[in-house]
Order: sequence, then structure tokens, then C-alpha cells
Amino acid sequence: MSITKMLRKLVRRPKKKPTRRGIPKGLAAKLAKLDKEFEKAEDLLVRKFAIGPTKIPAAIAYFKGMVDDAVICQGLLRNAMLELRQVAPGKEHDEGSILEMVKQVVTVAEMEEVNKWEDIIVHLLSGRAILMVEGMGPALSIDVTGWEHRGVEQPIAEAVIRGPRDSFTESIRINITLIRRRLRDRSLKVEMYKLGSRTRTDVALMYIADIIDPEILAEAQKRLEAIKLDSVLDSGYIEELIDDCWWSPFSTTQETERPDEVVAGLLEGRFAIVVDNSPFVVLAPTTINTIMQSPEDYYMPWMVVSLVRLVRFVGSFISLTLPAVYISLIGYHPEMIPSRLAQSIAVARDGIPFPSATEAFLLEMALELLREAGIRVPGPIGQSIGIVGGIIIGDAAVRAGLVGPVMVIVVAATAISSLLVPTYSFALALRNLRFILMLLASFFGLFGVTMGMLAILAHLAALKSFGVSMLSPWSPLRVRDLQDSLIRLPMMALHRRPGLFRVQDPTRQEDERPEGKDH
Amino acid sequence: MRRLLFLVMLCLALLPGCWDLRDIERRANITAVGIDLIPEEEREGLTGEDPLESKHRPKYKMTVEIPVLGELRGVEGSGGSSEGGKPAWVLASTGTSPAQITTLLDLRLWREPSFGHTKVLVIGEEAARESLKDTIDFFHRHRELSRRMKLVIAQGDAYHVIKVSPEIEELLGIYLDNLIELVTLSGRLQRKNLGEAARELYSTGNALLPRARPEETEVIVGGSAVIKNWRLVGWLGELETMGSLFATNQLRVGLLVVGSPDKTTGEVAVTIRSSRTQIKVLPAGDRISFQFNIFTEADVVEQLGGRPLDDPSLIQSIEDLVEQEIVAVTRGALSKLQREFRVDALGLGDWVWKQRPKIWEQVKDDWDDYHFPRAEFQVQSQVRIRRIGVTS
Amino acid sequence: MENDRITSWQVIVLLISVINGTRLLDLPRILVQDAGPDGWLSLFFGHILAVGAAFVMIKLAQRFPRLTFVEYSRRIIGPFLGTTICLGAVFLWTLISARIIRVFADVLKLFVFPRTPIEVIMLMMLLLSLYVVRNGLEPMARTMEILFPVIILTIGLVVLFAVPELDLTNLQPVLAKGLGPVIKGGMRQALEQRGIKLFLLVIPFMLAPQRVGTVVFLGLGINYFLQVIVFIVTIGVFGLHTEDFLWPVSMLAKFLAVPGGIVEHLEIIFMIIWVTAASASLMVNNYLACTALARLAGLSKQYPLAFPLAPIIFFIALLPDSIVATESILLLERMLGFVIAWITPALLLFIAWIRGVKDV
Repeated sequence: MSITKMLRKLVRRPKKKPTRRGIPKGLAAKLAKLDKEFEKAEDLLVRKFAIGPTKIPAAIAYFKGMVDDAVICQGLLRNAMLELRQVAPGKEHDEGSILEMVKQVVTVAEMEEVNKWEDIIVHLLSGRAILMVEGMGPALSIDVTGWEHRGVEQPIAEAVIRGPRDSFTESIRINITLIRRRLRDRSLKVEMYKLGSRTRTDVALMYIADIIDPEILAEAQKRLEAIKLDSVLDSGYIEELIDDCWWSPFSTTQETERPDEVVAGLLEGRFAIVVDNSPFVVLAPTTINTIMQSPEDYYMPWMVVSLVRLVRFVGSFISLTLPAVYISLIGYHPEMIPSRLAQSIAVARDGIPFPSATEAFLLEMALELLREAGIRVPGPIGQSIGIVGGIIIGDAAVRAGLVGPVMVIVVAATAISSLLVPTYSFALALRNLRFILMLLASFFGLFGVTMGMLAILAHLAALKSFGVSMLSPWSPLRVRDLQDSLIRLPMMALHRRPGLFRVQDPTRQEDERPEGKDH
Repeated sequence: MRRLLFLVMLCLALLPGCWDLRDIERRANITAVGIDLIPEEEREGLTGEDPLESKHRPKYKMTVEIPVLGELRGVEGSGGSSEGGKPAWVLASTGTSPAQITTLLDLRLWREPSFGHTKVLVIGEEAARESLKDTIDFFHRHRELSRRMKLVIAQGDAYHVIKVSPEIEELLGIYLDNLIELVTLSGRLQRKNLGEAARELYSTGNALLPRARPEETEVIVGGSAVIKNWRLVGWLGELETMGSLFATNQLRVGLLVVGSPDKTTGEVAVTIRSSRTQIKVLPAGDRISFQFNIFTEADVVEQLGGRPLDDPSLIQSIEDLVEQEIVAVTRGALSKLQREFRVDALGLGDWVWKQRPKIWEQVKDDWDDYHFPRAEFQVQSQVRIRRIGVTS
Repeated sequence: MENDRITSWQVIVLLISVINGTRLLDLPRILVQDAGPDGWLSLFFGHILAVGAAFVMIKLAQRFPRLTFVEYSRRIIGPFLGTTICLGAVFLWTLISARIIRVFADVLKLFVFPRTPIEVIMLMMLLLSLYVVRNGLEPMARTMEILFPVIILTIGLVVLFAVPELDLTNLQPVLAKGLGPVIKGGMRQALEQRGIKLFLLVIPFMLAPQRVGTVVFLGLGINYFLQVIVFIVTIGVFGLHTEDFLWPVSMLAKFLAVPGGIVEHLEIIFMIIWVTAASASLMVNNYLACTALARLAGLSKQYPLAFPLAPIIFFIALLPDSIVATESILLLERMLGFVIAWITPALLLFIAWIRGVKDV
């Protein structure tokens, strides 16, 4: 019994009385029904007017604030009320021709006929305007959405020095545009879903049809369709619901706010899930290797990047194990520390009331408190909280003899190293596991740490993200894919896409070098 | 459900927890150990009031050095008082064997004794004459002790070595460790750590071990102790030690002073930059003949008086002199071991086994008593003077 | 998705892990005891014999490409005898798992945890193994695949640090006592490569079963290379003194210093990483026991049996009174191993050939 199923059961929308699906013909009936449907929704605006020379009564309904008023006035009302008379003066019309005529005069790009009452509701709620005409079944849904949203700004969580500075916003349209603009490929597909029985959030599944492995794609579609949540407020919801293993600290998907990273991912045969109202796009399948990559890796010289990658791996290893190793060394195997260093550590620790394990837990907890506080504290004070907490409290604790100075170094080094991991959710997972390793270290020293690391490794080895092993390309070993893992080879050498996502079109670069480049 | 069971088992296992957690500052880190034999006449007085104890009269005295954390220079702001208390506590205790004494230290120490950072083991002259096996076995078997711990034989009592508080370093253990480790110029010390010593002792019972002499505020190392069948039988001087190093292909650096190459110049000192010894075992009738070919590169570092060294033939004659000196030094060491102590402390028997296993099968049983003392040594030396310093 | 297909490289890694889990630690001692400085020759001889034995198993398996030992043994010699032999194999694997746990808990207790109850150390290793075994063959193989370089790197570092202390003249004299001891030692070494039993079960799970011959050659080749390097380094440092140590390789680590002096007491790191290797071997043996038993019981998956088997392993591991008494387990293990890995496959192949039983 997986928790995803339980969750889905819990949140499934209770069955409600079936509403009548048909749309009444008379305008008054329609409006009455609408009124009943949206009782006390006072931001719903209904404007009645008359169409054409024969003055057929009509009305348009929309939610205030969700539409662009200029478009409503200029493109819709003006044309429907004034232009239509000139186009078709004095003719009697049947249903079809009125709608056709309206379609011809209204200068809005997107519109469609809706035939179901339920659709009217949905379209209204999505920020479209609904045009209803007396005596006609179908209504016209016109895309006039235009609410206020944040512009494209610099990425916050994934800043780079070299590389594009734009990041996703809360609008799905802008987000899709940001991706499409970079990838002018006819095979780029965008499949739209509406998820959340109440929020009806737009969700787009994007992939490059002739690169992605059909099995991975089918699995993604299956999992998206299986979502029966009532609300999707952020891509985090989706991420958790399509995850492969609910009790794993590691996520089998990856989130990013950088369009260039998404495009690079799509080109490697992965898929992206763009969720409306969320500036984070979900990328999958994910491996440890992709988690440790940053888009910047491809904008800088390969030698530098290779070193940086190694540093990143070392950093994440340190952030995972350093406090645990400290406990082990101080408490279990002090003989491993070089004698002189051991001497000064012993001198520094002499008189500290707590055993090393307690000391480590205390300080790590303090660090977590500071970190959380740093996020919550409003804007500019945030940084100073970090400084105040880190330096002043740390220094005071050492002076007061609560903790040893070496422990402060260890905690600081851990905190810094954890910032090296490019993917935030992975850094969080490492943070969780760090505490478990510390616990094991305080019971078994380095043996405990090793057992813990082995368990983590075994867990990662069993973990698959949409059928791709989290540990590829190292295991199962794919020698070719090692070109872009711990190190990155120069662009000249990257002829093939990584094979671990089982891509259909492996060629990335023609093998022959261009004439004259080789000198 | 299974996972829950998993967790429950893990928790149950961990609940009593932390059996071996002993923080670094809660251990009494013994930095140096010395072992002495208590003379017979003094043992009587040491028997305790316990009649049960009278069977086991104390035989050894063990001296340990424990750093006093509060007095050590440490991280600024914590510890390191300036009143100038003693940084080390030297503690002597008696008992029947090192193991017993260590355990009984428990009654005198406020913390658990730990050998993780023990740097030197000093064995007193008398204790070494009694038997090294008694004293080394405990340390060789101990799980915590580093095999890289230095082993020295004290000329006199080990207690006096441990008692020295060096001028420059706070702890004797670290002082002595570095002192022995950094003998890089003179080539007059048989540097051995516990592992190396044990390797030789456990295979033949014979070895050459470094010698240490306590002074007022320092310890002087140099020369070596000759161990025959686990017992100290005598000493090799510093130059003889150098000869023994030449003979076993262990010498890497060293200084030799030779007389004037001709009448016009004074004495010349050369330092050895590199040296390599080839050993060949040849049967010579019913005796065994060892051939040592020593190839040495050296630099002239000093020339007392006389004319500049601008003549190639002069260099040539210096080379000849150094060659003669090396041969003399090596022969000296070999013949002292062979004639005076009648012990193969250099492991020459190994070479017979390696090169002439058939002969070794015949001689191995009375190698030390009969064949080694009758063995024949041929020492040849070849010296190249490479540099003569910055002046001619 | 399917969890039971492994690549050829993974089989090689599994083979090396299962053979070397505990052996490498005392290998130099046994070699020096048997053949003195000629141990590397014994080792070579032993590996050739082991390759032969592995090929007997492969020939047998190729007659039944989709079946494991459990099924085809019953088909060749009838359900009763076949089941008995399979139970023997399951018992052997259980025994090996128990012995590994016990020996390593003992070593750890000796070197690092004098006060920690041995049961707790054993339980830790067992729980980890349980988790991996429940995950199945492919995740297990992947775990080993990642561990393998780590272990090779450790051995490489020990070798590197040993270079200053190395005296290769210790390998002299060559063949001082003739070929006799070399061959005797070689037989023993061949028996010690019991890990080849892996091929009784693993072939149907391979992605490319037709390449199993290459896998045997490469696997045992790399294995020989590893073992011979460890042997040469140990004897290069200790000489014939090697045979005095219970675990010469961990003594070797105790003997060495890291250049730069970042870490003292190298043997602790070495021991701890070695536990990893031992765990790897434990996992494979534990998995083989579970799978063989599950197939015997007609189950398609091994994990329902992982839990019931664990207390048995734990119990057997607690049986011996001291480190010395574990030797008796080892003795039993050697005998059973000889029967299961050497005699049985040869007999089965012979009978199958005579009766013409095949499954193609």
C-alpha cells in the first residue's frame, strides 16, 4: 500500500450531484443558471448587449481582474456591438451564422465554441470571457486572459556567473515561451493537462518527440493522468505525486528555475513538467549525475568545469559526512588524528561539559535553526541574522566553553559545502541523512558511518527514476556516458547524447570536424 | 510493516548505545613509555601488604609520560596557562609485567590510559639485558599501539630518559619521535620502529636497535644496541653503526672525514648523498663468503687548509681515501659483530636463504653459533665525488 | 520494472567481491605457509584450476540456459537427490554468511570496539545485508559496482604507501623447495576460490549469457592480479615473517604511514573499508542462499525468504566460542564447498551427458 495511493484516496473530491450538462437556449435562462452557479462570487461580471442590426440580446461574462480590459473593450465589445452591424445589416440569422459572424468580427486570436455547461464554468474560471447569445445552444469562449503577473527576473536559487539570466515566472504561458524560444524544433511537444479537481491548474508536459524514449514518456503520461488531487498549488505537488519512492529522502525528479537547464534536459531525452503558478519546472528522469550538473558547466571551459565538478562531489560528500567523521574521530578513534593536532584538539576540548556527539548535535541543530530563521526573516535582515548567528553565537559558545572551536569549524565547513550542491532538494536530502550518519557515528564511530553510507548507496542503487537507475552512468556502467559525469570532456568530444535515457536519436554532433577548424 | 520491524530492531540494538565512545580529552594519552628492570635487592621492599600478591613480586618499573592538557600550548583562549606549570606528568609504577602495570595504572589515573598516540618505547639497559621478549610482547600485541612507534634502548635507566623535560618541546614523546625521525645527516643511528624491530626479533631473535643517552635537558641518540637472542649483549659505536648500515644497504646519508689526500691539503669531510650496497653470497669451501659491493656518491663539504681542489687527480685520491674509509668502517662493524658478539644481528642469514637456499638448509641450524662466526667478508667500495661545494 | 538482469561487468564485479570479501586479509599468510616466496606461482596454478571448475559449471548451465542449478540438478538426478544437494548448497551459503559476519565482528571488536557487544556489530551487518538482499539482484549488483572502485582504490593506496618499505628480494629464492609445495598450495588456492559457485545460479540472470566464458576469464584474471599484488606487497614488506600474523594485510596497513601525515593509524581506515568488502561478500552469499531456497520452494522471488533466513544466520554466527573456533566453521565450509563447487557440477555434467538431459 503506497502512500501516494492513500493520499489520492484522501483527497479525492467527494461525489457531487450530477449537474445538468446542457446549455439552456434562452439568454435569461443562461444568466439565471450562471447566477445560481456563482452565487456570492461577486467578482463575476456580466455585461448584456445586443448584437447586429436585429438586436439579438447577448451577454458576455468574465471574472474581473483575470482578463485584459482593453481586449474586452476594443477587441470584443466594440466589434460585436458596432462592427457586426456593418458586416451584416438587417439579415435574419440562424444560430450557426451568428456565431460565425461573431467569430469573424471579434479580433481576438483564440476562441472556441463550447457546448457543455461544465466547460463554460471551467473556461470562465480559467480567465476567459464567455459570449452567450439568445436562442443559441453553444457559447463562445474567448481568450482574453490577462492578469497581473511578475515579469521574467533573475534566478534566485540557481544563480550563475556565466550564462543567461532569465528564470521562470508564475505564468505557464511565459514559461512555455521561454522554453520554446530556445528550442525551435518542430518535434518539441507540449501536452496540456488540467490537474486538481478544484484548482484546475494548467500543467504542460514537454518533450522532444524524436529524442525521448517512448517508454519513459508513456510512464510520465500514466503517472500524470493518475493524479487525482483536488489542488495543485506548485510543481512541488506534482513532483511528490509522480515520485518513484515515497519513503526515500531523495527525489527522483529535479526542479529548476532556469529555462536553459530545461532545454538542455529536453535535448538529453528527458521530459519537463511546467505547472502554472509555479516558477519551478520539474525535470525527469533524474540521476545523481544530472543533480550534480549546473547549466553553467557548459558555458565555461571544460577543464575548469571538470575541476569544479570534482569539487562539487567532494563538497557534497563533506556536507554529508563531516560532522559524523568528527564524532567518530574525537570519540572513537582519536589515535587517527596526527599527534600534534590531537594534542591541540584535546587542549581545546578540555573542560567542555558535553561528549563530542552531544556537542555536534547541539551545534548542528543551532545551524539548522539559523538556516530556517534566515529564510523566514524578512529581506535585508536575513543576511545579518546569518552573520550574527554564525559568528557571534559561535564565538560566544566557544568562549563560554559550551563547544570546542574545532566543532565550530566543522559545522561551518559543513554548511558551506552543502551550498555546493546545485540542486536544492538534493542538498536537503543530504542534510537529513547527515543527522542519521551522526547518530550512527555516535554509536559505532567510523564503522557506523560506513554502514550508513553503504545503506545509502544500496538505497540509491535500488532507486530508479522513470526506469533509469539513479546511479547511471556509473552503474550500470556506461563508459561513453562518463564523458559528462565526474569530469566534462570538451564540446568537440561530446558527439553523443548521454545514452542512459535511452534516447532515440543519439547523435548530438556530426563526427567530422568542420573544414579548417583543425589546425 | 516489515520496514517498521526493521526500524524497531535497529532501535533496540542501539538503545543501550555508545559503548566505546571515549572522547579524546577524556583519555590519558600516554606519549612515551619507559621500562626498567628493578634490581633484585630492591624488589623485596616493594611487595605490598596483600599476602595474595606475594607470589608475584614486582619485576619491572614502567614510566609513562602523560600530557597535562591545561598546561599545554593549545588553541588561543582555551587552556595554555602562562604560570609555567609542567606540561607533562611523569608517572612510574611497578609490577610483574607491562600488561599488569598498565592495567594497574587504572588505579592511579583519573582517565583511561590510551596508547593511541604513544610515540616512543624506551627500554632500559638492564631490562633489555634480562629479555626483550618480556617487554615487547605486550606492546606488539596491543591493538591501539602504532607499529610506527619508535623503539630505543636506553644506555642506563629508561626512567631517566622519560624524566627528561626537553628545552624546546613540551612533551618528551614528541621530542624523541621527531629527533629520531629527523636523523637525516649523520647516518649514525639505526632507526627502527616497533614494527621493524619486531619483524627482525620475531624471525631470528637478533637485531640492532637504536641507542639513547639521557642528559640534563635533552636526549642524545646514536649508535646501536646489539640484541642477541632477545637479550642485549653490547653496544655498537656510532661509526660502527654506520658500518652496519652500509652492510645492510640501509645507509642513505652520512658524513665521513678522511685524512689529507696528499701532503698539500688538510683533512677532507664528505657527505654521502646516496649509497647502494649489493650483497652476494658465495660458497667458499665449508665456509660462506659474503661479498659487499658498496656504490656511493658523495660531496666534499669541508677541506681543512691546503690548496684548492682543482686537480682531477686530487679528487681521484679523495675518492680512494673515502673508499678505504667505507671499507674500514664496514669491516669494523662486521668483525665486531662476528668476533666479539658472535651474533648475526644484520640478518645476513636471510641473504643466504634468498641466494643459496640449498646451502641455507644445511647451515641454518647452527648458523649463529658456528657458521656465522666463521663466515668470510669481502667488502668493496666504489665512490664518486660529484660536487665539491661552491668554492674550489 | 524488471529487477533481475545484470550486465557482464556486474557479474565480474560480483565474482570478485564474493571471492575476496574475507579472503584477502589472510591470503598472504596461507600462501607463505604453503609455498613460501613462491606463493604467486601457487596462486596462478590455483586460478587455472578454478577456471577449469568454472567451465564445468558453465558447460552444465549451457545445457539448461533458462534454469538455475536448483532446477537442473533435480532434473538430472531426480527430485530427491537434487533437493538434497540444493539444500546442501543453501546451507553452505548460509554458513558462509554466518562466518563472514562472525569473523568481521570479531576483527572489529578486536581492533576498534573492545566494549561494544559483538551481537550489535553483527546485527548491523546483517540488517544491511537484509536490506540489500530484499532489493534484489540488480540493485545489489549496482551497489557492488560502485563499491568495487572504492575497494580497488584502497588496495591501490596501501600498495602505494608500501612502496618505500618494499624489499622485492624477499621473493627470492625461486622454487627453493621444488614444485611440490607450489602445487599443494595451488590446490588449496583453487579450493579457496569457492566464489565461482556464483555461476551455479547467476547465468540465467545475465543480459548476455553467451559471454559468460569471457566473464570467467576476466573475472578470475582480475582476481588473480589483485591477489598477487597483495601477496607481493605483503611479503615484500614482511618477508617470511608474514606467516606469524593472523591478518597480514591489516598488519600491513598498521605498518604504513600516509605521506604528509594527514592520518595516523591507517589500519583503522583500512579495516573499516574492508568491512565494506566483507559486507559485499556477505550480501552476495546471503542473496544466493535466499534465491536458491526460494527456487527450491517454487517461489519466483527471493525476498519473502530474506527475513526468515536472517535469524538462522545470526544464530549460526553466534555458535563458535572464540576466534579460533570459527576455524571449525571454515573447515566445514571448505569441505562442503569442495563438494558443491567441484564434485557436484562435474558429476552432474557427466550424468547429464550420459542421460542426454538437455533443455534447448
